[in-house]
Amino acid sequence: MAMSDRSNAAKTARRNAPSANRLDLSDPDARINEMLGQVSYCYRPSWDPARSVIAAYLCVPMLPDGTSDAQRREAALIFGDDASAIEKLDVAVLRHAISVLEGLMRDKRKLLVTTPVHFETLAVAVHRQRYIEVLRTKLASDAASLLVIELVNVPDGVPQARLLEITSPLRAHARAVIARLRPETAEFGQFAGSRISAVGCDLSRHTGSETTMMQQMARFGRGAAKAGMATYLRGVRSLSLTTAALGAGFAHIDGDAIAANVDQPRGIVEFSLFDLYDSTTPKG
Amino acid sequence: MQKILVIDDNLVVRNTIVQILESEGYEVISAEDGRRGLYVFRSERPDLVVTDIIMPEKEGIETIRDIRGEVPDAKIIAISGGGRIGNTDFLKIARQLGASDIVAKPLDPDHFLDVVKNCLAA
Repeated sequence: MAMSDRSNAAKTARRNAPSANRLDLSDPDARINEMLGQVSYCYRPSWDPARSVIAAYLCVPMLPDGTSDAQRREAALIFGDDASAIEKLDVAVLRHAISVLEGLMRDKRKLLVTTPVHFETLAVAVHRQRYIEVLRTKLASDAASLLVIELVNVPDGVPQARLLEITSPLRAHARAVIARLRPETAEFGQFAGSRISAVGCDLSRHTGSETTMMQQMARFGRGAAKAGMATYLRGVRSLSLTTAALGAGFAHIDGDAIAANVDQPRGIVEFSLFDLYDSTTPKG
Repeated sequence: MQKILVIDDNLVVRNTIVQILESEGYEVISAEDGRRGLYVFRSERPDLVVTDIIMPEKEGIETIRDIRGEVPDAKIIAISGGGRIGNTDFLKIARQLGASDIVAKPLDPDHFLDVVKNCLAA
């Protein structure tokens, strides 16, 4: 085989390979677009225990993971830390969330849809402007009251002024802006007055013991309450973590222990504390 | 001598309850979460179980239901210090889902012992 043929074959093999690999930076745009084409979406139901309902859904982009299409994982984990790729993913997720919101509104179903956006995307002015332009041009004004924007990968110690610079333009297009932080976060002062409505954390990839997780969520809940912030918790996978989250005062909770992801939000679901113990539903 | 199993993940609370019960002459065994508590229950067959609600590995209401599933007439007291959610709370639900009686934390030793005696006598 000639050298150029081998090279072409290698490129073809890369294109056809499963998408578990991180981005091939030798041809980043093509690779990003290829990966974006493989993204599918699911929605994670979020429980409001005080109202005993599930009325909010988080849009989660997924990509094939490894050898099987049936095995999928969160796209952001596969996209890695390439800022341009992450921005395109964030925009794609936003567009999907908007399309789902529009469908819900057509059916006169008022559910909240949460779209995650990486702090990295909003931290760079040009990326932030492109993101806001999508909000401005694609989101109907009446749908804005049902859209929640969740900042993810928020680093520690971001000053309040910087947060305001990022959140202020978003608030014009959303019901609320919330921020997903590390479970270990202890300082919440900068989030009060930053136009962030709630702070939360995600336990789904936490590798510590349940005792550690419960200690962290108790600390997180206490610290956030001290700063006057509402809290939410993602990724609870057992009844024990769920009751601990309730005890720590988290206002919204999601994860497999509550309800499995769905292809599409369909309606408000009544869900009380009793439903957690429903013996017909396998729990974590 | 009547045997009581105390399940609570908080070492200080667990030891306090153990001391209160031992001072009244009960034989007391303990476990630090519901999973271990269930294991001890199966091997020791205590006359009464006192369990916290919020615990790692297996929380209290799930533990109560598992014990009740294995021994329908088991005597179980649920204790909890928090978790009030709107107009309901964990203890109320624990009662509805299988606890024989409930006691709120912080425990008043006299009241707690009354509940224990009544539960064992029932």
